[in-house]
Parts: sequence; structure tokens; C-alpha cells
Amino acid sequence: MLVDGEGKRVRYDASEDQQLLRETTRRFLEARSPVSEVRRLLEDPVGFDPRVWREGAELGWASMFVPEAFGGMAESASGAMDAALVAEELGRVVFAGPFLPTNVVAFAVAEAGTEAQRQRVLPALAGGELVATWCFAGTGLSPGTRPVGVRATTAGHGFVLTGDSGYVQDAHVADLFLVTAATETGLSQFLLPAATEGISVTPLDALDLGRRLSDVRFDAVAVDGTSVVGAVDGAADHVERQLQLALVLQCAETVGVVDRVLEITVEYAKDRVAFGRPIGSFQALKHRFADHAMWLEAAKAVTDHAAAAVQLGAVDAAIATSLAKSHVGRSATEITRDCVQIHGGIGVTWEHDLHLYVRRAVSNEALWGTPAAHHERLCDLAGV
Amino acid sequence: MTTNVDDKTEHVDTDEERAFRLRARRYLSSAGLPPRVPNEPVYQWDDDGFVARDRSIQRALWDGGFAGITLPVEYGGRGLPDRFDTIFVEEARPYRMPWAFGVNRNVIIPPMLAHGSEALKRRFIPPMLRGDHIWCQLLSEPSGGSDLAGLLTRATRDGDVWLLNGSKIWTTGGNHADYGACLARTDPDVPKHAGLTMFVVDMKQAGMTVVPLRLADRSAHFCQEYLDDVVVPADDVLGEVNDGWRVATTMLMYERAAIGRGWDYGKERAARAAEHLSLSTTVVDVVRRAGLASDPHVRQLLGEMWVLEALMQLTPPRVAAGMASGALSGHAAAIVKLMSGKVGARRTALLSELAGPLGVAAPPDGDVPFAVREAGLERVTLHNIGGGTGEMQANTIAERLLGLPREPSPDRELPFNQLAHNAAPPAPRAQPPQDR
Repeated sequence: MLVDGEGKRVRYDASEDQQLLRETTRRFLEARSPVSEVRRLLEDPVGFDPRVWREGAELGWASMFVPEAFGGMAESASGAMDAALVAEELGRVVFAGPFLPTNVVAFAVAEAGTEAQRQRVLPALAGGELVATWCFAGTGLSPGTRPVGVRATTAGHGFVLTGDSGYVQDAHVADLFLVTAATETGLSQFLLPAATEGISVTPLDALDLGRRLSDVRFDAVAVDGTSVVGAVDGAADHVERQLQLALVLQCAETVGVVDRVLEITVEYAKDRVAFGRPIGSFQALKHRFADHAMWLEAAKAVTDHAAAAVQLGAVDAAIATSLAKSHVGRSATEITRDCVQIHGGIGVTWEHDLHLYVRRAVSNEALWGTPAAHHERLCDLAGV
Repeated sequence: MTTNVDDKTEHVDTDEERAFRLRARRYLSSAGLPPRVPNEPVYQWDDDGFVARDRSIQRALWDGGFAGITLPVEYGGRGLPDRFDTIFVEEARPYRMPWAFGVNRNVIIPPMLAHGSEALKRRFIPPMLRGDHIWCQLLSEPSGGSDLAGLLTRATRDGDVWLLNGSKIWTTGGNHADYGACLARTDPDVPKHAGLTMFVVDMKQAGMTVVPLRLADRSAHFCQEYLDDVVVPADDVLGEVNDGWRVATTMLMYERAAIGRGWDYGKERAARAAEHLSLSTTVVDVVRRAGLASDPHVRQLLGEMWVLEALMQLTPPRVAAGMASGALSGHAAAIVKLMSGKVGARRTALLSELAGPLGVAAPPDGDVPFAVREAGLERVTLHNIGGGTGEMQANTIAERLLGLPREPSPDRELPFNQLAHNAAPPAPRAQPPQDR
């Protein structure tokens, strides 16, 4: 975003491989999935272009957490950091596609899945042929930072899942659900085909026009023991790491949204003339731009840190991701909203792309835990 | 940052670097340096003992061959690559560094190397490294700080010397400085930027009156100077006559860059290694003792405070890395500078909200771990004004980093003496304010 340097870089110390990944991703998105795609797909039943998603998968978008033995490149990638880098590029075009849920499920299965689950699922996820999503948050006003909606009780050799999961991305077209459920003494996770009897999906009216969200109901869904991912009652640590990864990818995407919106708005302020001079020469706007650039730089710093912490499995990864979510979520909404204000009337028209970005920013602030929910979580983490 | 917080970069040392590291470690442990005390104020210019101690610390660094590690040998330095400086900083962490020499190191020597004559560099850099000379910057004036190029101090030529008249203000350490880099107007008949010259001024002369300033928060870190026919030999010009703005710009760039990467010999850089994202335990303790730990509103305030602290920990290293890699220009330091002001103000507001009435009045002998009364004032005043106001930082970010156009203004084309300006400062006060 900054004009005197290579503003393309989110990480000033990114490796050459990461630079290449970023540039390849950006070129691909410019050619195959510019922001106008959101409009083209408005009435599309899927909501994203499966061909584009598969082509993205060929670039490695879903391979970062999948081991080489299963067709991925986890060994040579820096998982969360590389995925964050792609997510940021996706944010710049308000990408429509199952990047976050597919990667989180791939991560979960690679980490904790049985050999059979890994063989069955990971190659198809890495190849973009299967779409998976994660049923984690509760519905309605539940906090978004804890799995509260679904219970699983033992029944014979299997389990019965009952309850509701909310705000599940791309559930309407997903092939697979990873479900986090409360069991007798802890958390457990299950990997289910979407077609399993008793599962019903209710699409939500979503603010974000490039992203489909649904509530998913589990009505006495019977599953056998082979669908369990990881230890029964012992999945809490994995669930926590999945949440951290989701937060990192969401924050990175939001950073991309803000980066692009600020770029668009700075250009507009240089071109648009009022009172005989470019509106960007007025100090009343300049100081707002300076604040926005500053908070964006902070958003990049805190997101980079969170990505590195999650990648390294650092002890403060939970803290780092909640700190990132609070700042990135809140500042993105404020900055994008003010960029609309700087545009004036043109900024509130349907034809202008700004609202597509604002919708993504506002949605990302609210999903996976609001800043307020993460402040609560931070106090819990600090033992306050 | 996310792994062991005390990690040094020892594992990447070459043999030569390793030898240097061990030599530094050995010397530092035997040189009788005082330990670094956490939370010790960086500057205590109103404390003579503090400044004297810093002079002896700088001298000890010189004696050990660790002053001016990266500076050219001909000016008393060691001529080593930056890497050796990093190694030294790592090894020096347990010890107090000569903070009073931070101005020399961060903002005087770099522009002197860039613009100074050979004679000037040979004459003035070695005494700084030896601990003999403390320098100050004589830039801002009572008539204006942000509009630095609009300054009123005049320099007139009188035979072999220049005579300087006017007043300077907000000078860090002016009362202890031996020399000052003083920007003064040498030609009022040209536009303001074109008629300035940077002089080397002997601070210990009769015409120079230095008065410590007491700030609203009771601190006394700054001085005001009154220049009454201050004499400067004709050769003691840093850069060329009437080219002082270029020198000042270099100086301000280095100042911001130093703030961005962490002030050398300062608290920030010393503390850099201790980054971990912890919430201030003091604040948590107070909240707990007040029985407010489960109050939802208080928990929101604590969460936000933690976020702000993290941003201030994580953003400067990111900006510094950007500047070091060349991806960002030195102007990017304005981001960090602006942020410290904004975050400081918000943090103080959060503390005030947490402290409630206890933040404005408390028993004199009471145990109030975060008395926001004076600290709050200090944070707001110093961070968003000192070293360039937040507004100037915002202009720098908008114009230099984002490329937004300047506002039209008459002061770039008109001769200085045709511009409106504030009144010249009053004469020196008869009595300096009493010490605390």
C-alpha cells in the first residue's frame, strides 16, 4: 500500500518462495477472480466458481497443511504463514471460495485424523475436488469463540449428534463437515459426509455478498466410531489450534481487504478535484489517511505475529490470535467505513465496489468472535 | 518473539564475531558498569549525578574499544559492520548504557558524517565517543516548532565569526550539553528553506543562557536557550552556508529512524529482546484487589489495553524491518511516532477509566500502583508533541508514504521576510525556575 517501497509485501522479511507465492496468487486472482466475480456470482447457487477454486488448489491454496504423502506440501510450506499470505491476497479481491474452512479441516485431519481419514480426505481437499467446512460456533448470539451448539452422546459403538451449529461457511455445498461437539467430559470431533441422515442446512441472509453462511442442524445424527477425529473427550487442544488458524486466516484476509480499500481511496483522493485542487491535498483528509495507514501497519504487524505464533505452536499463540482479531476486526470496519465517507456519494452506490469490501470487513469483525468476545477470551487466558 | 525471549543471535556468529562477542562480554563484566534497572527513567537531565555517571559509562565504552563500533576509524570509531553493533547491544543488555549520549549517537553523528567537513568530523566525533562532549539539537523556537523552517534566530557575519541571536526551546539536555547543532537564518531575503545554516555552537559561552523548563507534569527534561551575540567561528558550519535545511532534514530523518528502530542507548532498544505479549500485571492486580475482575466492562477495558500494548510492541520492529530492507523509506518511522502518541493517549484514557476517582486523588502514602494523575499528563504531552507533533507525523505519512499532494501555501515561494510570523521571544528571565 505504501508508495515509496514494495508495498505488496505484507511481511518485509518474507522469503523468496513466499514472495513468489504472493505474486503468483495475485496474478492468478487478477486474471481469474477479480472483484467483479462477486457480482457475477450473486445469484449463483454455489456462490463461488468451482473451476477457479480447483485452479487455485493447483497453485497450492489447499496444500499447505497436507503432507506430501497425501498430495500436499506441508513439509516444504510454512503452513499458517503461507496460508495467511494467500488469504491476504484473497481479501484484496473479496474472494468467493472455501479457502478458510477447507484449510482448517485439512489442518485438523492432518493433525489428528486416522490414517484412513487422511487417505480418504486429504488428497481430494488438496486438489480442490472436495469442499469441507467446520461446524464450530453456536447459532444466534453465542460468542463465536467456543463450540457451544452441538452435543454428542454415546450410542452403542457410535455416537448421536444433536444440536445446532451457526455461521458455517459454504455448508450449503460442502461435501464434508468437521463437527466439534461436547461429549461426556470434554470435546470431540467428527468427520461426516454432508449427506449423512439427520443433517439439515439452512442458508442465512448474509451481509457479505461473496460468502455463503448457513446454520447446520444435527437432528439425532447417528455416526459410528470411524468418524471420530482424534481422541474422544480429548479434542480441546486441537479445537483450540483450529480456532487459532481460522483467526489467522480471517485476520490476514481482512488485512488484504483494508490494504486494497485504502489503495483505492488514496488513488481517488489524488484524482478527485474539489475547490480547485485534489481532495487528497486537504489536511482534514490527510490526517485520516495517515491514521488509517498507521492502524493498517499495526494490523499487519499483529497478524504476522499471530501467524508466526500459530505456525510455531508458540505458548502465546492463543493470546496472539485474540489480540490480532480484536485490532484487525475493529480497525478494518472503521477504516473501510471512513474510506466510503472520503469517497462521498459515489462510495455508497451499488455500482462502486467499496461496499463489497465493507461487507467483508464488517462480517469478518463479527464472525469467529467479535473483538468484545476476544477481550473476554484474553481475560480468561490471563487468568483474570 | 514467540520463542525464548532472551535469545541472542549467538548461533549465527562467525569466528570473528564470536571473538568480538566474547571480548565484549568479558570487558562489560569487568568494567564496573552499573546494572540496567527496569523502568528506570531514560532521561534525568535535572540530575547532575545521572549525567556525570553517563559520561563515565561512555568513557568506559571508549576505553574498551566499544564506542563508535560502526564509525570510521579516522574519527575514532572501530570501522566494523552493523552486525558487530548488534552483537554488542545483545551483550550489553544487562548493563546501563550512557543514555545521555543517545542524542550524539542517534541524531548528531549521522548527519555530521553525511554533511560535515573533514576537519569538523575529526575535531568533534572523537570527543563524543570518549565521553567528553554531550551535544544537543537547537532546532525548535518559541515562535514555532512544527514550522521549523520558519525559525527566527538570526546569524550575521562579523569578520571571521558569525553572531547568533534568538531563542531555542524544547532542547533535550541543553543544560548539560557542551555543543549544540543550531539551525539559524542566514538569509531572510530568500524563501524560508533556502536561507538557513546549521552551526556548531559552543554551549559554554557567555552569550548562551540555558534555562531548564518545567513541564505541566513537573518533569524537567527540556531547556530553553537565549542566544545573545553567541559567537561561532566561520569554519564551524555543518554543511554549507544557506544549505542548512538539507542538514536539518537529514537530522530529522535519523531522529525518526532511531525512534522507529529503537533509540540506541535508550530504553526501547534495550528492551527489544524482552518482547512477549503480556498484560501489565500491575493493572491486573489493582483490578483484582478492587474486586472488579469479573466486571464485564472492566474486562473489556483490560482486553483493549492488552491489544494496545501488543500493537506498540509489534509495530516498531515491523516498521524497522521494512526500513532496514529498503521496502520502506526513513519516513516510515513517522508511523511509529504517531502510534505512540495515539496509543499513549488511549492507554491513559483506559487507565483513567479503570482507576476512576483513584486516578485523580489518592492518599499521599497510599499504595496506588498506577497513579494516572501525573503519568497521564506526561504520556499525552510528551508522546504526541515531543520530537514532532502527531499532526506533523500524519503529514509525513500522508505526503511522503502515501504520496498525497501538499497543500498549497505561500511560504515555499515568497522570501522569508515577506511572510507572516509570530513575534520574537521575550528576553531571558532574570531567574531560572527553582529546582524541584
